[in-house]
Amino acid sequence: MISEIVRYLISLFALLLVQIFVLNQIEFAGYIRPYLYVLFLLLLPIEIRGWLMLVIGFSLGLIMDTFTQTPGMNTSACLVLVFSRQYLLKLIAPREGYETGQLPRPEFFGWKWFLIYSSILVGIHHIWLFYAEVFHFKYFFSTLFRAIFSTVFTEVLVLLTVLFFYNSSKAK
Amino acid sequence: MRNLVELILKYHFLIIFVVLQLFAFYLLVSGNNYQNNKFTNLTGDVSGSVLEHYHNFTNYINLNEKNDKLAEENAFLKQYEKYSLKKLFSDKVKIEDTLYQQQYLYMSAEVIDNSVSNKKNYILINKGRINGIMPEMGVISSDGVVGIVKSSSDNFSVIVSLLHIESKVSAFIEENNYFGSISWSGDDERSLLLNDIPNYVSLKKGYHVKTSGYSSAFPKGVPIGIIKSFERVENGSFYNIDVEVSTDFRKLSHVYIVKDLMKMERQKIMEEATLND
Repeated sequence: MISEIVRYLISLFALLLVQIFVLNQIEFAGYIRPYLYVLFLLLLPIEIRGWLMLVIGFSLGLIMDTFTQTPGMNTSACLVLVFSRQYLLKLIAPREGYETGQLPRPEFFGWKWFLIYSSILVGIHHIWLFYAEVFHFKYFFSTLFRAIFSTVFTEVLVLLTVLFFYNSSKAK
Repeated sequence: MRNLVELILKYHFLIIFVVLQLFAFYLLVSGNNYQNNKFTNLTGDVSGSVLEHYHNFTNYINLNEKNDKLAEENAFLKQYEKYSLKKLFSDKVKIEDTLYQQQYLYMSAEVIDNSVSNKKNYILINKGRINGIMPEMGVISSDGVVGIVKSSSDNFSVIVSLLHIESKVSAFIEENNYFGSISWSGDDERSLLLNDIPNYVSLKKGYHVKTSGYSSAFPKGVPIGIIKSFERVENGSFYNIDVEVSTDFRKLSHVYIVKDLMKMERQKIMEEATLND
């Protein structure tokens, strides 16, 4: 249990490092901004209680906001992601429900399941985030395009990261 | 009462979500406040010191280019040194110069975080309140205008970049003295919009756009950019003017903060004048 928590903390730290020092510093074609750090929220165990997930999402968003000087933006988007995650997990649950110890990863539920699960949540997070940034519907379509392109980009990074770092052979 | 407790327990997830979300929105709205916000005052020192370490590390990569630029600027400034000036009169005459009085002071700072891809771009620099930096001070680079200080913590300050959809800087065209205001459309980090130039003025590509000195943030004549293209708006009385920015925001490393020594005086007389209205 303790070693599990340590492992999550290490992955959190690594994701934050990559996000703050690599992804936030590079400009992708001017419009695209990937937010890989949300992968941490995607991969947390299914059985974590809802209130705890909200607190984790809130804190993670707050940390990101501290580093990007965007008060509330990531915080708000992470809360929405966590909120939708609880309902989405129920919606796409296997017929017999989740077993304890199962994690929301391709090794347990397959790549198709993970693709649907992660792209919906990343999409929700990004759309919310980009509109929260502009805080106006004046740039409705350009914001939407930016959100969609960035979602695709983040999703590719999410899949690659999972493929290389989370796809251990202990899959059943 | 018991029902209420049960209700809260049943919907605790939703309730916590709404409460935290409200807090996030409070941050979002107060942070959207163009000037001064509490969030960066509180967190600026934490994120600032981390980002500064990172910046110190990456700074080495571009060191050569930056040194060249600073040397160039030093050379330019040397021409104004006393020893570069020739004495025209004999030294018997003592000239007490009352024509000029120092109005602006400049303080150099290093950029430690910067973005150009957002709609609202901010720049973090390594000087703050203890260096005398206050909100609303102007920030320029050796190429031209950079932005306006939004808020400061003890050691760091956040600058609203010119590349911010709500930024507005008063400007004039050097060649014909017409003034307008500079804003950013949020699309291209190389071009700004010059508004409020009446369409009967004759314009040419390549005209220089500089600060007007109407606000106390910038002295008059700091370069903003040059006119890239312009068109008359149908049924409107103003031009649409695209201005190519003279500052390269992607390469920004050293900036100068402008301190207006006569700001208080200017504000005071404005207040007095408007009070008597």
